Amino acid sequence: MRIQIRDLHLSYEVRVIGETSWLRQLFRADYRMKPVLKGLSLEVADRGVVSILGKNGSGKTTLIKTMAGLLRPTQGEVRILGHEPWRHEAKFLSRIGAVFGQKRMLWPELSLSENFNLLGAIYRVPEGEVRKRVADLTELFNLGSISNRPVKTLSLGESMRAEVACSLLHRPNVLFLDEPTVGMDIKSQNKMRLALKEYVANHDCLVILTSHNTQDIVSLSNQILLLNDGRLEEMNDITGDTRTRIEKIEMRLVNS
Amino acid sequence: MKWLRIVSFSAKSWFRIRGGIVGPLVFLGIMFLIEGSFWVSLARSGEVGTYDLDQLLFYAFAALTVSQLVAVSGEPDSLSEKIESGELDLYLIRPRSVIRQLLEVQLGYTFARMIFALPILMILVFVSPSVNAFNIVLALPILFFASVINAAMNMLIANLTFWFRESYAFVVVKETLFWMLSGTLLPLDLFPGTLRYILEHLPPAYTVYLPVQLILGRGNVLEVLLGQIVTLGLLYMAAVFVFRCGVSRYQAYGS
Repeated sequence: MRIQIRDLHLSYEVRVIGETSWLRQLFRADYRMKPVLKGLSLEVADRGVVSILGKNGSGKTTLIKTMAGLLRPTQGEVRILGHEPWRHEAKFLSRIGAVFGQKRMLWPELSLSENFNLLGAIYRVPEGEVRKRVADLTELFNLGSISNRPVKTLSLGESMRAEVACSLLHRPNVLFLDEPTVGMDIKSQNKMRLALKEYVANHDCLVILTSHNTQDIVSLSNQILLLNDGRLEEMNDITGDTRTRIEKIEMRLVNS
Repeated sequence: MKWLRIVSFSAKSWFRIRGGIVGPLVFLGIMFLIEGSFWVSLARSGEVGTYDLDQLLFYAFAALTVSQLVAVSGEPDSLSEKIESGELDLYLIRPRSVIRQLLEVQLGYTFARMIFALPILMILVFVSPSVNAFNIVLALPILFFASVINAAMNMLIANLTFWFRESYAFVVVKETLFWMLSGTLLPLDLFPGTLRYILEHLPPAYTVYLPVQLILGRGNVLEVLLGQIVTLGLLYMAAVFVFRCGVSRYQAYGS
């Protein structure tokens, strides 16, 4: 089982302003626990693409960050590839990849090829293998023309393709993608989807995807999870009239 | 040799930050003018402690240069902001200790800065009778350790952001500790008796004061090096321990 989650609860500490006097706040800030995930359980065994759907604030990003080990559950059990992610064991981290659409995950002053090399060293990928994989990923994600430019000078679309390509260098068994096409134009979105589709078809990789883009979900997913207010409302394999199904879900999200 | 790769890429990225050298050079020029004028006024009537005016000026020049060489800036300096803004994700998802990665980045920056700092320190060889090129070469490993010790102290304090969110307060604490206790502003042996003894044995002394004494031909290299290794070991273990305790409170803000 690649992903096993049982009764997952996660609460954030949120600062509260205005409930106590300003004088008291000088000495002690007030925080309140805000529950985000509320008893979520799920299991995913196979490779492929699993999309997490839900409106803003439903807990999609929190769930993906918990699975990637960035957040520690308040209660419940999370096992990814047999590991408890929040322990940050090197063995676990070597087998996952993550890209968060609105955060940079690469070193901005370095070029894309330097980022590849540095990541190759960090993930202990042999140098010959790094060269081969970089060539494959460069072709797959159409990165040839930008490989020698500092990452900070890349456009949003280029930068996201670079981020995803770099996250695949060490061939992760689970890849977390949080809104990988956010802010991209249609052409860049298509390039990203095609590359991801081809990669997943040819490698032993489970992609956990969150996206507000219906096209991403329709063209990539094998399975969808619908989150509502921190709880898993539905988990479905995608078969038959996928678009209609997702549109129905979207309508429900709009109306809820 | 992961660490060597991180060190070399950090050095490269430091070179690419245009103006990276301009700030320290302007700082050095202005601060030396201010501090030099201060010492000239103070030492006009004779010696200050065990220093005459020339020695005070040489000390000030070397201390200000070393303080810029070992300064913590850029990535290693932004740990508290990263914890607060959620940008720590970049480091947490890699199979490499966050503290170690940031110390390696600091080492890379120091290599890059050394290319500028070494010729500046070499000026002392021509103007000070007690300084020779051999002293400076001998002090090189000490200077690298000094830089990493400074970064480790910085990270130990920055880790407090896991518990107390407002990271700006820690920036002030870090800066104050460094300026007052490292010997950048004035030699620590000017402090009286017990205070002097305490300050000379605190970690900040290993970042500027003791390395500068070696450059100026005072002190024992092996003694300082041994002290640095022990200090770095303790600081590193403390920083890793506090980080591990704190990271469970990390909230990974932002999307």
